[in-house]
Amino acid sequence: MPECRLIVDPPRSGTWNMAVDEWLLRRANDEGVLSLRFYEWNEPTLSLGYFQSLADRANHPPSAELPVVRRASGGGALVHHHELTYSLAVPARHPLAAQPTKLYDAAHASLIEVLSATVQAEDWNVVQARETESHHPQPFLCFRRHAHGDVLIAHSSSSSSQSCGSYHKICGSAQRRRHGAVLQHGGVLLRRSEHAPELEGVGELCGREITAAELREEWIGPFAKHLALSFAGPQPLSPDEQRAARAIQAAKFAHPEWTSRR
Amino acid sequence: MNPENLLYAKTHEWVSLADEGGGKVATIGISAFAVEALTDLVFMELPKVGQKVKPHESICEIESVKAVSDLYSPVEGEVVEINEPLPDQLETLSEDPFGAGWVCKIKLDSDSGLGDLMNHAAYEKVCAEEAH
Repeated sequence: MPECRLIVDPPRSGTWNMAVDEWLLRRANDEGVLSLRFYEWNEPTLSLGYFQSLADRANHPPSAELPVVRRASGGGALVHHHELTYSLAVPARHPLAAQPTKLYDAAHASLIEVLSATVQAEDWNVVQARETESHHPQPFLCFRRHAHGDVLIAHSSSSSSQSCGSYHKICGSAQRRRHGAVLQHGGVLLRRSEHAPELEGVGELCGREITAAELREEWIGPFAKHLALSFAGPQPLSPDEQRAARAIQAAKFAHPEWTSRR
Repeated sequence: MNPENLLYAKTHEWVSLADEGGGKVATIGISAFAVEALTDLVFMELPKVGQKVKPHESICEIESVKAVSDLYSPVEGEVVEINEPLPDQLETLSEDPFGAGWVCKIKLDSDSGLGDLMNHAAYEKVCAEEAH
């Protein structure tokens, strides 16, 4: 079973968080290092999908005043507030790197196992979306888009259609692939944010709060099981790694040209 | 184009070489295996005509519902033509990846990168390994 480095980071800025994820992708690509990182955000932050236009944030007034960072991954915008975020960096030689859907499904299946065991209310089920909904144009927010494999909380009386309004997306992930290596990151919406009031989180839907720390502790085991990985104890970033991440942060994610490139 | 007559990079680009105007021109595309693995494609940014490229360098990016991926140049040279309608007709990549789904043409400056390319039989083995 491949050993995976586990990183548990304290809340930091959006540009720092994206820089560390980029660093982990580079290490996966250059050195074959497999890593799983959990992190939070030190202030409510809007992240844009790689191909989204910065100007489009004007269409979402509740998040208009938040700091913004452009991700290297695709998909829609996320308001990172009451959230636990994870990132997985997988080297090209790992079997999960070859097919995007397998990695996506495995990570989400592990989350469903955790939430089903901890917070799932009697009338609600935690499920994976069975189909991808097509909208033109796509909704601005990631959590308004439903793609096959997304984690949804669904009322048990819902019909078979996932678009009936009783389905609420609480985790979607996005990937960046580089020379066969993959970075996959995603956020779990723990509770509603005033900066995205249209989105209910786990707390509102299940009537039971779970903190980011509680979810992280519960999730590590199922992550290892579903992705067939083993973890040693958490290994924080070394001073050299932090320097590397700072360089990426300054040159890329905190740079105005990167943020406004579209 | 017949996929059996093409060359392939391990990053899943296909290459068709032709002699044009006293030099070699490589037509580049994305293999059917890679297009299928990417799943639902939603956005693509083409390289720019006049862009100088080197082997293994990213020349453009493509977004699927799940991922943003780079397309890498298998050769060294200059982009001389791009398939302009492609970003508005991404279904072409799935329907005809080795024909109408071509991405760009690169006029070669050297033979750099050509030695790393595989024939169809070798590429099929790579795909079979990745699929398991």
